[in-house]
Amino acid sequence: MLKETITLQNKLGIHVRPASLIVKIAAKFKSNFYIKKDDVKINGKSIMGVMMLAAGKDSSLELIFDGVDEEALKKEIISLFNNKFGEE
Amino acid sequence: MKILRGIPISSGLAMGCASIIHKKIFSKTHRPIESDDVANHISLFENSISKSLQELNILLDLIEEEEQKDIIKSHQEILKDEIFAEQIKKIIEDELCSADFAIHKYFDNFIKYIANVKDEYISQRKEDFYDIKNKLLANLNNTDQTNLDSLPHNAIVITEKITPSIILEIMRKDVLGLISQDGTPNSHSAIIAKSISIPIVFDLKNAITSINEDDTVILDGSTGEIIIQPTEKQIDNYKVEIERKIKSDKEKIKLSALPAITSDGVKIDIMGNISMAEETNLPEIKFSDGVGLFRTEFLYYQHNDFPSSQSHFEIYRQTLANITPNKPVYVRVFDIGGDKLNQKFGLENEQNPFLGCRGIRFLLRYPQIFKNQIRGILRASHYGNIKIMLPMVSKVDEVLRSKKIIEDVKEELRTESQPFNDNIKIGIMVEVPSTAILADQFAQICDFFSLGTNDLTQYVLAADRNNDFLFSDFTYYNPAVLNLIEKTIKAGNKAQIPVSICGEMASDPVAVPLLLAMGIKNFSINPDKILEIKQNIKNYSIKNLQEIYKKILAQSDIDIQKYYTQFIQKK
Repeated sequence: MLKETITLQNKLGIHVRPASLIVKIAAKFKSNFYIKKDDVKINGKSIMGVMMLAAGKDSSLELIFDGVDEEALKKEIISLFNNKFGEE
Repeated sequence: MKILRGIPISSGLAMGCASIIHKKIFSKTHRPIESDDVANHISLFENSISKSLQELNILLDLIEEEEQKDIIKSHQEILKDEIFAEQIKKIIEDELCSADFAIHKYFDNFIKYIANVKDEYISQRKEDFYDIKNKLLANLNNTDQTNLDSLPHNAIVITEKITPSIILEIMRKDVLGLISQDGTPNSHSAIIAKSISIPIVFDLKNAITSINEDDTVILDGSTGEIIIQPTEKQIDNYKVEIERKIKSDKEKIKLSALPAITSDGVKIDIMGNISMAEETNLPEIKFSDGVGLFRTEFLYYQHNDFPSSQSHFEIYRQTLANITPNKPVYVRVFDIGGDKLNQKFGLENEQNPFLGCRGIRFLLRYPQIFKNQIRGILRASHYGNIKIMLPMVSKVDEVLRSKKIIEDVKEELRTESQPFNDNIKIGIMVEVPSTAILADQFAQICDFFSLGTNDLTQYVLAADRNNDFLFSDFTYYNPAVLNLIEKTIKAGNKAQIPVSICGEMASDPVAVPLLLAMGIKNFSINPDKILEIKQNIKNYSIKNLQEIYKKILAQSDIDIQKYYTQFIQKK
């Protein structure tokens, strides 16, 4: 299991479009993917779940990757976050 | 006993049990279900997801802006989210509730949660979830016909708002009358609703709260009067009226077959407007001079998709078979856009759909949809006098491009050795001011004109005909509208092509003498007005009408309307 804590940088937070990008990447991998914000932990493969995070700019998120291809999944997800979902 | 009054839309009398459909469809109340019904509700829900996904796919094809495409794609992601679907199914299972209630419950909680998020941008995303929820509910309604199936025999249907899917359901059922809480007389819903040929009243304020399920209701579609829980005496009166109606219906069949000839011997062609092939069974249509306007948008509703060219062919062939020998059928190709079909096709994203991509503009943008329909019409042309009518034409170029597409389809049919009428007539709706102004040019490339006065009026006056506030401004008696109508008729006459009129104005007994004076000899009107107008025409002399018209033209729209109202009353 891999964990990584990040601070959300993009201006508009995780609204519907970033959420759908996250889910699309997560779906390509066998590993489980969870996102934790405060006390809420959601399944990163469910767009409704990701939206439930209601994560605005500067939110601190814990990303949890767990499974056979967790390394590759982590790499793609982190790069998506770092690129601010291609929005800015 | 209680009497209410709305706007009369379609005449006739009806008495029956009230059945309130809208309440059922969008009910937020817990409707308990049996445990062996769970699987059924889960599959209703699943169907509604796949239907919604399908709709979004169509939408994706239709729009071009990347930003909007992204939103639609993300909505698709949500609908494909298995975890979300599982949660709704779990509500159905755990709470033994209907699929619609489960959708409401899940989304309402979610929307509440999102709406309370401090981040404003995210909290605004609640709109996306509203959209998805409504889409699911609307599609659930399409698949869930249980509450319409359970309509009692002889029901008077009460609804908050008329939608095309409700009209379709009503047509399939044995419904006696229709009352809508909302609706304006010039809306497309009203025009389509009239084609059902049952008494209809719109704009009955508080209909949903004033009428209870199973109340006995007498509905008078001619006056807009509704009697709820009538007295014995009122019921007796109703029965007498109905007897009289049965007699007059028999009379109607006889009268329908008679031609409309003015007192000075001019034969006027009275054709009918229809939306479905079945309407050709009405005596008024069957025995009239043909179908002057076949609105084909309804074919979409029936299939919930664009029909194949084979279905188009079968429908037109059936229509021709019903009204032979050789009377004309003017098929107006899909007039999509505006307030029709807009949600299904993503055209709600247009800021101004009536000035947007509708009618021929839509078809030229999606030529495959156009070609399918043309192929159906051309194949049917082997079996009768069918014509192609292009809607919402505003430029000469649109006619030329359409003709090119029609020629391409002809070529395909030739290669396949399919028979068709190579000389099929191609004409246009004149409903955009630019087209009326350049009518002379259009007359050179068209085989006929058909005046669509509803749209022409709204475009000339820049007044939305669905806007309650502008109701009285929306009048085809406005001299500017009359001027363009006259211009179109003159251009048609000069080029020796027929000019007919198929808008609401042609079905208005007050406007008919005015149109006759202007030179219209082909009317296409709503079936329920055909007899009245045929009867009126017999009393008119064209010569006399022309003299009146010359004198009246300088007056204001209100005076012109007033004059003709008195004129027909005296006749």
